[in-house]
Amino acid sequence: MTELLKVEALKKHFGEIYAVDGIDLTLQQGGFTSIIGPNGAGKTTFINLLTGRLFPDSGKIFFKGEDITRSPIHRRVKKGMGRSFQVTNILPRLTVFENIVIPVLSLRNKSLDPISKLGRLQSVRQSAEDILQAIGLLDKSALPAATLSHGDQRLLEIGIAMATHPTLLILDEPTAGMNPLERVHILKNIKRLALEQRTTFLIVEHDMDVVFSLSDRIIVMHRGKVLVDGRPEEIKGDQKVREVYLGEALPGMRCHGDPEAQGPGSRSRVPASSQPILEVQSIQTFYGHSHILQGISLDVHRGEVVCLLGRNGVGKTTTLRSIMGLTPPRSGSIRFQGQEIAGRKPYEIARLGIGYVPDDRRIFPELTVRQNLEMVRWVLPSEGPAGSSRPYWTLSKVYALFPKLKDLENQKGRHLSGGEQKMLAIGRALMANPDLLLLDEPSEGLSPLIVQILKEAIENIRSEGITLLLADQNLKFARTVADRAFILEKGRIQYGGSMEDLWKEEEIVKKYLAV
Amino acid sequence: MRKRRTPVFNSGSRQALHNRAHLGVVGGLNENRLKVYKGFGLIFLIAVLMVLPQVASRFYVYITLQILMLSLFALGFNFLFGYVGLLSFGHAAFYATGAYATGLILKNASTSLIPGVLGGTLIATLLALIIGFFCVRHTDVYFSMLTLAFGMMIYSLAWKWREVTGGDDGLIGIPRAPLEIPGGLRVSMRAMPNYYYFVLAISVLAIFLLYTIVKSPFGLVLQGIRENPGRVEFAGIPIKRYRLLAFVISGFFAGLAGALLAPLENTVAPAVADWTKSSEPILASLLGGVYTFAGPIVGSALFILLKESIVRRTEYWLLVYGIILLAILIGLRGGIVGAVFQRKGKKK
Repeated sequence: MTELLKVEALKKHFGEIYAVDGIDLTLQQGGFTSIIGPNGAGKTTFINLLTGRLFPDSGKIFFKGEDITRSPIHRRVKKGMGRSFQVTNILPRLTVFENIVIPVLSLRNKSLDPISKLGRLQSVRQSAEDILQAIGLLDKSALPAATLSHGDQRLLEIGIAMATHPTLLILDEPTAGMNPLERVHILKNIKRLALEQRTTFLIVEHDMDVVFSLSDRIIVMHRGKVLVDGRPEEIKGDQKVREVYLGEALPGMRCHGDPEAQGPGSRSRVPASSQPILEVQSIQTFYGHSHILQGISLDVHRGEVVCLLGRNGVGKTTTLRSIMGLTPPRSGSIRFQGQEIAGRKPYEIARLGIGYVPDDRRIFPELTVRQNLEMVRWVLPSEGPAGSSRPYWTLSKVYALFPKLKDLENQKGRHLSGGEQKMLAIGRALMANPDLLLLDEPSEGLSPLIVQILKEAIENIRSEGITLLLADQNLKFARTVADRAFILEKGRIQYGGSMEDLWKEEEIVKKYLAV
Repeated sequence: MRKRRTPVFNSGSRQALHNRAHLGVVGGLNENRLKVYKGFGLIFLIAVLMVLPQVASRFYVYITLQILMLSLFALGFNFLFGYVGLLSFGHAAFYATGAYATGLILKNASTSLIPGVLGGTLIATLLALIIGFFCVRHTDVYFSMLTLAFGMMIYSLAWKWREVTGGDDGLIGIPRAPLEIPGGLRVSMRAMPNYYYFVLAISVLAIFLLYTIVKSPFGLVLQGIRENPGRVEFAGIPIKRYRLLAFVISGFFAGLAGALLAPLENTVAPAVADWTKSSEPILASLLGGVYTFAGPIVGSALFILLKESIVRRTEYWLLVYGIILLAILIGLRGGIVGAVFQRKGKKK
């Protein structure tokens, strides 16, 4: 076997965070390699460096023996590197055939030809039709790409990457956001392509079924570094990998049963009532053609902390967004404090008393920390409705919760680190005096120290009488803050129960959350 | 799984896409029949244009000349906007350069029409290469603002560089030089119909040339760049170079339109470089339909005919004109040609 790709001490940082922090890697010709790792491990950044979307701060990339570290994208493609994208990235208004024919023209150096008629270029046509045949879209070749189902668009996505006949094909989450049926369909196709073509595959994937059924080699990334690199059997049994996917063992993190855990602000202060504050009943939510939530039902009681668990792409974020009205469900009911809110506008839902902290935080980058917080006061009434049980959040109260924010009061939002932005986003949501706070991936991408601060903050918020619904992939984090959990898988609730019970159900944990 | 996966199209335009799909798939018969209709329509149109000077007054010949020139201008503009997705607010720069350069050549250097028109067009094309070099580094509103800025630069040049452009007096006394063909043939262009036939021939040739480019592999790749530049780059295409090429082609057509203007009017004034001149091809393209080849031509005809018929009736013609344009733009979002084809798709 010959050496196809070689990466030496590759580094890339964004602000203070090293997204890729010294990766050394060699890929041989042939074979199927998967890259896995938690969110924010640097997988997509790594791929962007390989394919030329980003240039590294330091380190080198060799492809077929040539240094391509700073080559433009099109030159790498011409040299035999292809990629597909995590988010479907097709040419929507062109037909399926035209989508495939553009890379074929490029490959055959016909893309500058200004006089030939496309229909007359027989060999180009044939080559494009072969690809369409391989991905099973030949009968749809005259349709505009935007009219295809999401699954077919994902196939086309891979087809476009195939059409440049790459020696190395990099697929970024090829099955992301597909339903199980589409998933099987696309996998069969990838597998066939892997067998038929002499293509080397490098894929990033969160679906462990996919990873373990296809890979010869698995690379586990964590915090910008390669954590483990080995054959699937080795990865399956690796303790470190288990920890990364289950959540990190953090020194000093308090758990249930720890004597420390019963400190001030602990959950015993405000007992959860039996009265549900939020009832979600069999909601169905779609993104375009993708059926994301396939009948989710759950309830959250006043004073509780409830966590949605599950791998990436199972519908956790969509559930929060459905509740918040950002992607309204097509059917089903959502009742908040006895009132139906499904189909209401997000701002109405916010005024009823639901706060939302998105996973990407959405800080106002050009406003200072203080302005970010005060912004809420400008748009919302300064006090909750009369007779409301809501506590009244003030700047000083938010600063008391996150003392760091007080120090940064006059800094612009975009200069904050990820963790500080998260604190600010939570503080901003609190300034609206919510009864229910939705937190999306609160622990994602945060250093152990900040996770600890966050954990304490969540307990303090709860002791103020606010109910919390979180979505997180990190089971250990969830376990230390939540009373109950729902596990999602492929758009459905697979398990619901108390956190203590869940921790005992090793089978369920393994099946839905573990590697 | 998140906000980023919002659908690319709202349901309305998705419907339109289905219609287009329908049109394409419904078997060769309907598509072929459509082709035949289009062919007959084209022959009929050219025949009408051929006999026009024999049956219509000088005024209508003059109006048709204006339509032809705006068509070339708008086609050039829309090659960049409709096909590559770059909205230029400064195409009058090339139009004006074509007009001034042709005027200067005919006044000072050449006693023959073709070297004047060709030379003016080439100078405008060269300018497009220079301006395009800076502009294609940016997209969206940054691109548009850059083209606007360059356009205004050319405008102030036309206004201030008196020695060359004549300043606010304009360039006057441009001769409508005779057409000289090697072999001794010499056709006077004094009479309007003669010049009309010259412009008609050049327009038909130029439009055919542009149509060929649009339907070629290069044209398809440009449309791919419009749809999703990032993705086309991953097909191995150096997109900036392609955008620059498209910009130059676009400037060529705008320059040609301007070059044809100078001998017709015998004068060129700075108004041809004004930003309002840049807005004419934009409006004509939007009226006719930016995602169709013929859209800018239909739009140009409508633009000029509407203007002429309103100007004659009221002194508040701009007000009436504005209202009618707004109504068409809001009512027919795909432009006139776009709307016609959508309707056809629905019927089948």
